[in-house]
Amino acid sequence: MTSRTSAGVRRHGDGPLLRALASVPALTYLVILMAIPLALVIAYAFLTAGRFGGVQGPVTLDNITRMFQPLYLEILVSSVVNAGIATAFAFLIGFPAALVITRLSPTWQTAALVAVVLPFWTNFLIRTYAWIVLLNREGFLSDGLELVGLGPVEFLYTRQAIILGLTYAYIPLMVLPIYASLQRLDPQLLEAAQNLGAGPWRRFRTVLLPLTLPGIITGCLFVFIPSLGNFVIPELLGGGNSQMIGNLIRDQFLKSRDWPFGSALSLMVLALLVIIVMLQASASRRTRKWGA
Amino acid sequence: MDSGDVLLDISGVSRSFGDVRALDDVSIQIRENEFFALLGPSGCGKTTLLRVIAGFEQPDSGTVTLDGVDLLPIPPEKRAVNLMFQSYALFPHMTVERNVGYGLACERLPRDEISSRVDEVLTTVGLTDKRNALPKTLSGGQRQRVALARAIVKRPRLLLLDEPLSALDRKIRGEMQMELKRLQHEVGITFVVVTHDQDEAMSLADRVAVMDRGVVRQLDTPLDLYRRPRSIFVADFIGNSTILRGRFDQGTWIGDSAPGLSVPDTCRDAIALALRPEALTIVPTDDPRARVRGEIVEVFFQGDHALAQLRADGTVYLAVLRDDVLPRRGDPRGLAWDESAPIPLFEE
Repeated sequence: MTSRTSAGVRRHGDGPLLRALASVPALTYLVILMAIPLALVIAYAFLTAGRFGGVQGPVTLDNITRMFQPLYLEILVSSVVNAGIATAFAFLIGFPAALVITRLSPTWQTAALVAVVLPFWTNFLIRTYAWIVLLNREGFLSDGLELVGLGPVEFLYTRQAIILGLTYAYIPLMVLPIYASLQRLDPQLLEAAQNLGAGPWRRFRTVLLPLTLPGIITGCLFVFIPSLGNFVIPELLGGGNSQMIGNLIRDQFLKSRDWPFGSALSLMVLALLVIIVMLQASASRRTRKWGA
Repeated sequence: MDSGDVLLDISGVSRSFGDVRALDDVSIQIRENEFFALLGPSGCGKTTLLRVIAGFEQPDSGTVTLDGVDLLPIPPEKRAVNLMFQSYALFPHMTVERNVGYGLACERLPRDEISSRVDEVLTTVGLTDKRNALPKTLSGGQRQRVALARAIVKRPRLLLLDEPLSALDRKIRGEMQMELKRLQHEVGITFVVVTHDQDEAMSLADRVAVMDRGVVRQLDTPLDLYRRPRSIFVADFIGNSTILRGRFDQGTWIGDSAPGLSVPDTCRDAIALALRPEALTIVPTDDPRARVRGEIVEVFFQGDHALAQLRADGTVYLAVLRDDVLPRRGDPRGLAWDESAPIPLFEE
């Protein structure tokens, strides 16, 4: 135990057993928090709602067919659109921000990165409530517009407010992966492109964008996935005006007590996300071919 | 300047980074179709000068003209100057063909013209079979050829090469050296190579500017740099030499070493003398031709010849050995040289 060689030998000889033991916590975690709940959700989706919640027989496909009613499809589509727009805004703001951060001196880079993650130190709910204060008719934004003769305006409880909230909440998750891939980019590649006659837009399109694509895709997933399923922001900033799929699912479980339909909707969201993650995986396989 | 066709005229260019003067009043004229080298130790300012010519760096003062046109207000992407980067900077996500064609695509040339010019230049560098390969699958030498092809396909007025051979193995380096020279004749583009490697500069270039701490110390042909260095720095940097500091006094050299050495009048204003190893002959101590006497410190066998260090009066001389029988460490020997052998040096 004391000498380095004995530790080395030990690791060598007991490898398989030790490795198996080491995987126990992760496996336990996955089984209890992933596999079992997922199996339950899948099972519930094909059962009938109990009168006071819970599930009962018989097995049915009703929940699945019900999802394709226009009312529910509309909510799904509008959720995807909201999450998509929020992701697009997060990219449009996050990419330049990440680019600027990489150009700072090392000290300021650290400061900027801390500033990017700083909001996470505050509770998500409190931050969202803060937007209510900013956005309502008596809020700063409305007052500011009133001063220049454009107000008062009610921003709160609109679709725009939801998108703003989603963008705000998840933008750090866009900045960080993009920053990481910009850091890895050899700045000489941009100089080479410029030397060969490429203007700023062409350099962005043909060098910067393709080479930071893995980071961009990761950032987009990190923003899109939690945005799609989010129900707090639509609730607090969207009021009752527009619902997103997350609200719908929550309502099935907590208000309508229709667990099977809630499970079916969850599966739909899950299926959608699996498809997106698979697309991402195939894109990143392609970029890996380029080498370091 | 004896030749009228100056292509690139660098005049009084200075650039400071904080307290460091990277370029200090640099003036160089580069002629059309010349193979020019900027040679110096790292940090001498040669890379800064290269970046000024390419447009990635703006000088604090001075002018740079290409074909008589002021280059400084022109952004890098509009200059008829291409640069081959030390790291090659190939686009990892593009095939060889797209890498080489990149500069032409920037000019919005028609697709078939791009493809035929890429073909042509890939033939020149001998890489037609690697057209669809990604850079990471290529060897170092092949990557270098792609980088070169990418830089010359635009037919620039001036091609800048930043340490073009430093990333290559010793053996490939020799081949590429000859290839660069051949290419320069073939494509008829003016080459400016930046290097810290004196062999590279001396063997490739028509003329060499030796730089030190932001200043051009001497600008000459390789032969003149070797035969007639003006400063201790250049004599020391280019080739091997033994430096004797001192002063001239009525035909003799007064210094710490080699007292009473008689030297020609050309050494009148010199602050030091340089002796090239091949100008020195090692002789027995009792030889009347011996100007100094001492003992052998070390012998270096080089294959086709050998070098010996000989210490005399506190100075270590480096001399080429011509005998088949190598002396041993500690052997007493004398050194002889022609009266015209010492090269007078006038600056530090």
